[in-house]
Amino acid sequence: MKSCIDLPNQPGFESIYAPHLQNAVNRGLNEADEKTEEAAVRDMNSILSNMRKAGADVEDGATFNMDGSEYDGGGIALPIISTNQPVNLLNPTKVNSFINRHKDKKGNIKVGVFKFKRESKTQFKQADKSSMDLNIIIQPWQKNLGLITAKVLRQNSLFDLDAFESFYTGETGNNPLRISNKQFALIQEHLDKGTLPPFVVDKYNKLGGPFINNKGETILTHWSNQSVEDLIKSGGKINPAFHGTGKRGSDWRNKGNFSKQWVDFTSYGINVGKKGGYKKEPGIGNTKYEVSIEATELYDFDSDPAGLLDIAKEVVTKEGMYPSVAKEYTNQVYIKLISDAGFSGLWSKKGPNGITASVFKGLKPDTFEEEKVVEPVKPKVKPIVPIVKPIVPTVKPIVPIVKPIVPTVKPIVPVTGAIVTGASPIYDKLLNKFTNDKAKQIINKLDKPLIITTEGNRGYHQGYSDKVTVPLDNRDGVYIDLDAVVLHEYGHHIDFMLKQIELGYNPYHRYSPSRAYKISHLSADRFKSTLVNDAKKLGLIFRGSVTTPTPKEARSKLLVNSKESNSELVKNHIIREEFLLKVSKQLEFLAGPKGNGMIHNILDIIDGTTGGEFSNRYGLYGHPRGYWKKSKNNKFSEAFANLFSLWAYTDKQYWILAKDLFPETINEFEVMMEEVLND
Amino acid sequence: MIDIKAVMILNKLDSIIKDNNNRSSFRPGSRIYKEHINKFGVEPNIIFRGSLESPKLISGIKQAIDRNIPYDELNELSPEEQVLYEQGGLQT
Repeated sequence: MKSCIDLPNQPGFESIYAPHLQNAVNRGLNEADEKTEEAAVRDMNSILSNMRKAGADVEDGATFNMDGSEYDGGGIALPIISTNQPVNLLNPTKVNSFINRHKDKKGNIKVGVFKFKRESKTQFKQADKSSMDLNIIIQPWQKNLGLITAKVLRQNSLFDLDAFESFYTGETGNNPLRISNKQFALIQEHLDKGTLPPFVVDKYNKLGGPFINNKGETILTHWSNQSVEDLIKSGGKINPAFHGTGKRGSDWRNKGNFSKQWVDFTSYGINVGKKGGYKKEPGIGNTKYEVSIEATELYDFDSDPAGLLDIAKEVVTKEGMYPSVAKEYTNQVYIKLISDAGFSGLWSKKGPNGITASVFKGLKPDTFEEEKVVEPVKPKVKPIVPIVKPIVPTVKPIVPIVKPIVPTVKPIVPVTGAIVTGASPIYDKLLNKFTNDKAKQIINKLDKPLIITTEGNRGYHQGYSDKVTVPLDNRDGVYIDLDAVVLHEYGHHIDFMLKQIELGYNPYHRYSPSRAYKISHLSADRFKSTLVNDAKKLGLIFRGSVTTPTPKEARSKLLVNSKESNSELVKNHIIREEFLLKVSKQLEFLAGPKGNGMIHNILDIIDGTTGGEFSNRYGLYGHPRGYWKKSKNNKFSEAFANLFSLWAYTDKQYWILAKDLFPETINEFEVMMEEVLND
Repeated sequence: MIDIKAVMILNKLDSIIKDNNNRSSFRPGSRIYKEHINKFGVEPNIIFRGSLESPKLISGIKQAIDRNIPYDELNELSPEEQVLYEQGGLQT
């Protein structure tokens, strides 16, 4: 095992199996094929001879296959069992006996021999040191698991056989942990699966650093002022570029003072809720995000296993920094070196609130939760009421019908059963976040979509495989209507499921090509007629047709054919046009410059009843004319999805607004939902 | 004989049309939409919800005009989903 620390001065010191050394040597030599052995010994001989002859300040090493030949393949060597001895005692017999002792072990195992260089005159008093390691060869994707295992086994480092580079664990390697054959096999078995055996996880979690799970990941917790919607707007990641936008730490001024050495980072708490873990400090926001990160991506700032602090000190000394700022500057250079060394962040126990991490890269949260804010107790003293009456303006101010949306904190009820791909964990939580209790009951009563995916740029429901596609990014480049899109597409799924139930529900065969949605079919005549009635009252549908002529066409008609010139036709057009103008202005105002998803749902219902004329003419939200032309049923199925979105939403104000415009339809929809709930 | 009532109604319609035309002439989405119709003789094939004024849609139609290929959002679906859309088995 590689180590720069002096070992006990005992030739042939073995960390394991020492009493059986001679027996194993004899057994190994007898069993080996004579010719192979000669070839292997010859190669090994020359390698080991060179090592013995090498100078004290030279380091050298080689890896052998279990037949004694030299291994010249790649991978990362993870030392599991080690023995140390002076280099002048290193010979083929010793190496072969080591090999033979471990020949019964399976998997991609190799034996590494390494000669250390002398770091100082006093080091290695009698002879330079060498180590022999039984290595498991792992792949780069297993590096994190390998480092954790090596750390637990008190090994000094892993060695990359392709890049000839060491990855240090922070351990000296002086006294490696002895493990049983069963534990050795367990390590191999778990590494193959990309996990860690429970005994490694337990031991690692007792080291006093970040706790890990069996995938070698640490859970980091970040509190932010940023809501999840804002997070998605800014790319879906907790972004270190926002450093300083929350509560500023004492390091904030370093960003300006030492800009060349500055590295943006996000602060996280580690082992939150566990003994010795981070305790939330006041003033850091109430949206709690959890992310997972490979444990060894974070550098142990306090232990400094790679000795980067010494390098930082050298840099600062050379630059001749003023003593008053040298300490802080050294710290900053140290952090920069950690970042430059390829670590994603660092962790430390030195903070006043427990163990924390600073992460240099953006991380995608796995979960989020909006924590309830405890309101301060109101003072009992009555507020002073001004005697002077305020001047009342004569002109009435424009009062928006819809109150500003105040996020309401609701318990997150997990929706299960959905097969989710992409940025999945967040989708279910959003669905739960946006829906009221009644909607949750409906969602839980009916089977979930077979597939929910957040991949792609468009939102739609696909009837063939009951697939809901909802992008979580900024779809139109202008506004975010995430709440509406999530619920709207889920509304199509509800419509789809109601049809499936009507057909005789088969969870494994959900599709009927011609009648995929209930609202598209005759069975929803009641719903359709109420929508038509409401639309007629608003002048949106004229004489029951959605393909009413535009005013220009009506005018031409009026002039061309005198028989058509009955004023009733034109009068109805005017009612309609005036309504559309009024509504477009009012709803455009309510939607605001950034858009409002729930208003979009109302606009889309109006748009459907006008066959796309509304969105086309006023540039407002809706489906295009071609979509409405495609099928006369689209206006009903889209209305259903829009109404589900409005009905299911936590804020009922939009539902009330829609009720003003479409009272009969809303009433019918409520009856339908009650039927589903009570069925 | 001139029907006064009809003339008044026609005048009202004229003002509505004028008002609307004034509004739409300021909208880049509306303009590019018309440009597409003038060039290809067909409306852009938009199938997803949104606004004609969305910058993403406007730039998409612009690109289509520049490339001389009519704008068609059906291409954003897989071939199977395109068939499904035609059959009414896909809702946006």
